Parts: sequence; structure tokens; C-alpha cells
Amino acid sequence: MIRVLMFGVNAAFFAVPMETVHQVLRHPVLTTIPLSPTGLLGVVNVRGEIVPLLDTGVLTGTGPLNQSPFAVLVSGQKDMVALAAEELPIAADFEEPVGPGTRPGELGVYSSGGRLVVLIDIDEIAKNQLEMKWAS
Amino acid sequence: MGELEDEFRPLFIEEAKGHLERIASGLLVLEASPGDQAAIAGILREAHTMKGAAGMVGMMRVSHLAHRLEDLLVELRAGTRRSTPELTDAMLLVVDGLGRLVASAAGGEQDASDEAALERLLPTSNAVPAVAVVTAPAAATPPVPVVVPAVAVLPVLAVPPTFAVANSTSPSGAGASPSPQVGKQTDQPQKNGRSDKKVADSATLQVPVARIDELNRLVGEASAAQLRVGHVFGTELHMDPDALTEYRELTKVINQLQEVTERTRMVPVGTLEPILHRTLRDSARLAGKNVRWEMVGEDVEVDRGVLEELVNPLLHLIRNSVGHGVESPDQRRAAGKPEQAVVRLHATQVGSKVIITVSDDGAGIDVAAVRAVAARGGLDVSGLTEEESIRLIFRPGNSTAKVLTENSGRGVGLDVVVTAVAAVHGAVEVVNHPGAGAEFRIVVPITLTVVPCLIVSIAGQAFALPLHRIIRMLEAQHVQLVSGKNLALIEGQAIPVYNLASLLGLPSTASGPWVLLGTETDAYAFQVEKVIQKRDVVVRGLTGRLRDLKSVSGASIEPNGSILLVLDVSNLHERSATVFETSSRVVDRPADKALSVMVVDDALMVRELQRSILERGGYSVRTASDGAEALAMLAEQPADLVVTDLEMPNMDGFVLTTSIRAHPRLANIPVLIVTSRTSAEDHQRGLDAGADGYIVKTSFDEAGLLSAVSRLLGRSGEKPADRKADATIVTTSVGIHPARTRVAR
Repeated sequence: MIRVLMFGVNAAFFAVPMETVHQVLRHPVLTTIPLSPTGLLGVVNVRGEIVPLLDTGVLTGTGPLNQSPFAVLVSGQKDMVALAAEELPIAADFEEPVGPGTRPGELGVYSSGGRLVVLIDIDEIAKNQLEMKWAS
Repeated sequence: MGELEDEFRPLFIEEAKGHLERIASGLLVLEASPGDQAAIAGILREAHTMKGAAGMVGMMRVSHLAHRLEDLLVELRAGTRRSTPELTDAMLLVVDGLGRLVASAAGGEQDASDEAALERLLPTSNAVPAVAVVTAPAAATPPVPVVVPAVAVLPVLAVPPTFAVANSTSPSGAGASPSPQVGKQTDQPQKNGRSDKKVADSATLQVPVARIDELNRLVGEASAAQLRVGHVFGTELHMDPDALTEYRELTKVINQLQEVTERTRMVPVGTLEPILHRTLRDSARLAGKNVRWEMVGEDVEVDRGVLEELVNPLLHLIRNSVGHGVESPDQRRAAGKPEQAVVRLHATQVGSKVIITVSDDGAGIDVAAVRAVAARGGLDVSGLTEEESIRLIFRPGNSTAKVLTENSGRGVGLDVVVTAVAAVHGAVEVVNHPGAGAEFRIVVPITLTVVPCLIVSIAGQAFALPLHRIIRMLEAQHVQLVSGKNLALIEGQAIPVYNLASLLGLPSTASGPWVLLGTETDAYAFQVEKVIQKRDVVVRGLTGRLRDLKSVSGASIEPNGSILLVLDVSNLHERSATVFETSSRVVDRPADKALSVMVVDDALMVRELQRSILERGGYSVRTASDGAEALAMLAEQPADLVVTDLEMPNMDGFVLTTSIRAHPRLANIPVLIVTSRTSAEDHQRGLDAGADGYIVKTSFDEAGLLSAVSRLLGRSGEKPADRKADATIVTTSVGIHPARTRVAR
């Protein structure tokens, strides 16, 4: 069993392991960065730390988000990142996956209350979906 | 590995860096004064301690190599072996190798690659008569090809070690056979050994940099929180927090705390001594030159981040001094100089800046040769002064290696020094003494954490521009589109002007002042929406994924919790090079927005008449009933043009015009006087006050007003030349002052 936090992005659902979650920010105050690469909505001040707010729509390939009423603060391997969420994230317990992930960084597909949810590895998915594009 | 070993190994790794640093320094001292018993004893003690400690934590290979060093040092102490440059080379390389072994253990790696090679570097002790082993092959031994010294010696500075193991230096017949155990060492008391000096000076504690950064962050956060509390006092309790003694006390303490924590980031320039000294030594050996190292001002402190960035520029300058500045011993003798040259590093603090000078007593810069290379590269050098010619060495591709000697191994010019120093907001100056040496001065700010900035607004968002990049601010000027660039003529120079909003991909907004950046000879201007203020910004570098962002060099958390971004001006300048404007995006007035006119008249009827005429002409109009009111409104928000009466209460039209001209932000607004006074004297007085045009009310009509206004705003699409011609036409009703065609400039 794995404890996760689920959040909605473009009518799809994704989840991150609860052990990586620091907190959920409601209405994060976003500072946008000019010329910032795709997938970076901006930066937020989390107790004096400047944290990037990532566009989970771009990360998950479901299309860019326009807004981020919530942000899930998670620690990656290198740094802390905030993930944009369209609805209030919900905690859940996942049992066995019902299907494999299809893209790098997708750890598996789980069923929760009849909804299919993709569990993601934020470092892996960011590496594949964002950083390569940022570097270019 | 046992638990005890696990526990103590990190401690050993930390300590080992200090041991190795002191061994390397000691070896350099020993080389300068062979037979210095105190130095030998000092190194010996370090090697001995390291051997024992490494053994305790199970790092047997380190222990073994330290033991081999120890053996050699015992022989040096006993006088059965002589210190030679070759021996120093070998021992230094082993110290470097030990640094690598320790570092790889810290990273959890196993590195067995060069251990045997390292050991082969050292002459065997005892087995063969030591003196013979070292001195016999010494003359034939080629210099050690060390290009950059490996650095195991700087606890705070992460310079990637590039270690070159040179088998060629291995003395003949030296095998890897372990030498017999030397009798038990007793630690020699060391009183004046240089290597222990730093430790003995004051009690110090090694603290991981990350912990200091965290401390600095938390203090910054405490300070911001305190400001927020003060803010809440005002908004919620309607109290002035500074009226409370307790609050003032808190402010004082937090300010002091901030100063003290800032200082924890400071490190003495002397921490670079080992690597700089070592580089000098190795490059001098390589070039076959006799060079002495001198350092003054080791105690001058500078921000760790700044010093880190200076390592490579300083190494470069030192190698440059040895390679191209210092002459060979023969040449020096011929020139009547002492055979031994001096390369000197001198650090001093001047105000909030630190000046680090690398000087040598070599031949100086051959300016003629520098000019010749630049000219061969297609540069017109005919008009250059001596000083400008010297600065050519900083041009990319104008490498001194190619200029001054045939020894162009590196192929990297001094431009990299300038670039690296500029990255820490510094500058490089050169003083040349032909025949007597050259001096390179690096001037850097002591800290990068507090940066004086100009805060500007772009598309409604505040941004900080570091002040050290800014030449000055100026009002928007006339621009012309020339081959894809908007150029403005400023003090006789055509300066490219970019709309900063467009450059940043933000919606281009209302016109605003310009910020002139770059250097006097290579200037460019950014048009911003508004200049908010000048102030110090506590800048923190962006970390993690944000480090890759190009347009932003740092950010600051503001007292209200918002984030202020510091723009990377160099990057934006580079970006601007690719801009090809197809239309004039930099305009002193945006084309799509109505131009604003301020109408000033004490008669309501006249005001409203002029307002309706101008609004029908497509202008946005504000009105004021006298000069004082107009000036206040303009200071709040400038207009593109002022139409004013002369006779008014409080402040008349003459004074208003003079005041507008004297106001830094308003000085360039055209002023049109509309008056019933017809005398030539009044006319002249108005123009002398700084008015641009003069309309007599008796001949006032809609077409006349609109024509004068549009002409002054340069709006009717005519070319500047046409407007100039117009300016000389003075009719009885509308006069445009020939000397004040400001908008047409």
C-alpha cells in the first residue's frame, strides 16, 4: 500500500507519494518570470525560499494550465518544487496498480474510487518533460 | 568496514583537506628555503597524523601513501636526502593524488586508478643511497607537465581537480616496494612552522557552507517577518511600531544579526594562497623561469561566492604573468634585472570593493605587438590610444599567447578573465610599465548579496536592474529605424534602443524613460515603463532547476513577501543582438495609444473649448486651472504636450514653462503657449522660458490649434527634416521656436 496525494489536472488525475509532500498551498502568490521556459509557471515564496511552480499540465502532457488555485509542495532529489493543481488535492491509499505508466516518470496507473490516477515520479517526469526543453 | 570507521570517516575526510593543504604549503616553503627544519618538521607531523588517522578509519591506501611521504621527510630531516624541485614536484603530485583519493572516498566512490602510479612518483627511501637516486636523473628529468594543480587544499572552494600523473618523472628503478618501517615518530613540537600559523591565530570551527547559507536565509526571513509585523501594526492596529521601544529594540537586534551573519559568508583572500602559489610554481617550472611568489593582504575578506568566481581569473592572470610577462633568466640578466622574477598578489579593501592586483616585474605588455595582431585580425587600430591598445588583449581572439610568444598552448585569451570578473560585477584594469612589468587589477564588490539596483516597472511588474551596469537614465528621445534597429542619437553616438517589455516577451506598454547601459563606448538603452526607485536589494541566487533561467540572475524576497526578480542585463543585451525591428517598437509615445495633452487655463470656457477640440483630434486631455495645479498633476503623471495660458493665478504660464523645463522627468515635454498677449516681447519671453510654440488667441481656431499640437508632437507623419523646415516658418498665429524643436531631435 502506498499513501499518495492526488490532484486534478485538465480533468485527469495524478498523484505523488505522500512522503514527498510538504504542504498544499492555497492561492499561491505567483511571480511570473519573463522568457521562462515551457512548463514553468513562475516562482512562489515559501517561507523565504524561492520555489519554482511547475505547470503540471505540461508535465503530464495534458496541455498547459492557465491557473493554479492550489500548489502541491514536494521535495525532489535536488530541490523543492511546487506543482500546480486545479482542485484541492486529496489524500488516498493505493493498492496494486491496474496498469503501467506509458511515459517516462509515470510509475503506474491506479484506481481510486472508480477514477484512474497516474502516479508520477516528479524528478523523472521533470527531467524528461521540462529540463531537456529548458536546456535547449 | 566497522561502525567506528563509518562514524569517523567523514570527520577524517574533513580533516584530511586541512592536512593536505598544510603539507602542500609546507613543501612550497621548503622549496624556497631547503633545509628549513621547522618546515620539514611541520610537514612531517601533518603526514604522520594523516597516516595514523587514515589507518584508523580504514583508508589504508591513503595511510600507505602518507607513510611514504613521511619516510622521505624523515630522510630530508636527517639530511640523507636533499630537497630538489623534482622531489617537490613528485611530493606535490602525491599530495594532489591523496586529495583525489580522499575526495572520492567522500563521494563514496572507489578510486584505485592512480594509486600505484602515485607511489611510483616517489623515490624509494633507504634501499638506494637517497641522494644519488634523486640527483642523478634530475638533470635529465623533463619538467612535470602539470597544467592546473589539483586542489585538495581549499575546503571552501570547489575547483575541479585536473590531475596529471606523469610517469616520466618517476625516478629510474623506483618500484612500488614498500619501504622498511622507520622507527616510531615522535611528534615534533612546532613553534614557528608556517603551516600551523593559520590554525594557531584564532580559534576556528569548520562549518559546512550549506549551514551558513541556511543561517543567512533564516536571518533574512526573520527580518522580513519583523517588517511584516510592523506592517500589521500599522494596518490592523493603526499604531506606529517604531513608537514602541520593544519594536525598536527588535529592529536593532535583527539588523545587527543580519550584519554578523553576512560576515560569516566572508572568507579571507588568503584561502586562495595555496592554489595560486602552487600554480605559479608549476608554471614557472614548466617555463623554465625563476619566479618568486609574494602575497600581501591575505586577511582581506570577500564574499565566498565572489572569491570562488575569482579563482579561475586569478589562475589565468598568474599563468599569463609567468608565461608572457616574466622573461627567461638569461633575458633578465641581459636587461640588468635580478634573475629571480617576482609575481605578486596584493589584496586591499577600498570601501565596499576589494581590489586584487596580480603584478610582475617582467617585460610588460608589448603594445606594438598587441596592435599588430589586432590589425592582422582586421581591426582598425590607427586611432587607438596607448591605453585602448592595451585593452585589445581582452578582446576575444586577441590572445596574448598568440601575441607575445609562440607558446600558445592554451589558446584562451584574457577575454575569459574579463567575462568571469564581470559575472561577479567586477572590472579588470591594466597598468603597463614597459620593460618593468605589468599589473592587472581586479576590482570586485565585497559581497554579491546586497546589490544596489534600479527598480523599474515593466508591463506592471517590478524588476531590478543592477546599478553597476547602468550608465544613467534619460528621458525618451527621438528614434529612427535603421537596418532593423531603433537608433537614437545620444551625445553624438547612435545608440540602439530596445523596448524592455518586448525583449522580455511581455505586453509592450506605455512609453517611459530610458535606461542607458553598457560601457561608454558600447552603450545601449532599454526603454522601461517607469522608474520606481534606486535601492539596495538583498539578492539570493536561484537554485536547483531555476539556475538554468537565462533572463534572471537572482531574486529577492521583499518585505511584503513578494518576489522581486533581478534581470540579467548581459543576457538581455545578447538577446537584443538578435532583434530585428520591422517597426519602431521603441517610441517616445505608443502609436496605438492616444497622446495626452494637458490644457492649462484659468478660464473654464477656454479650457473646455480646447478640450473638445483636442479630444475630437484624437488626444486624451486633462485640464488644470493654473500652473501650480498643472505641475502637480504632471509630476503625478506626465503628459505628451502641455497647452498653457500665460496669465493665471498662483503660477503663470511663464513660471509653469520654466518649472517644466527644470523638472527632470518633465523637461522634454513640449509646451505650447496660447495667449491673448500679442506683443513680440511676450512672445520672446515665452520662448525664452522654454516654450516650443506660441499661438495668439485672437487668431485661434480649431485647425490652427490641432496643426500646432500635431506639429509639436511630430505626429503628422512628416520626416524630421520636414519638421525642421516647418520650424522656421513663423506665422502670425503659430510660431514654432526654431531652437526648440525638441520632438524633432
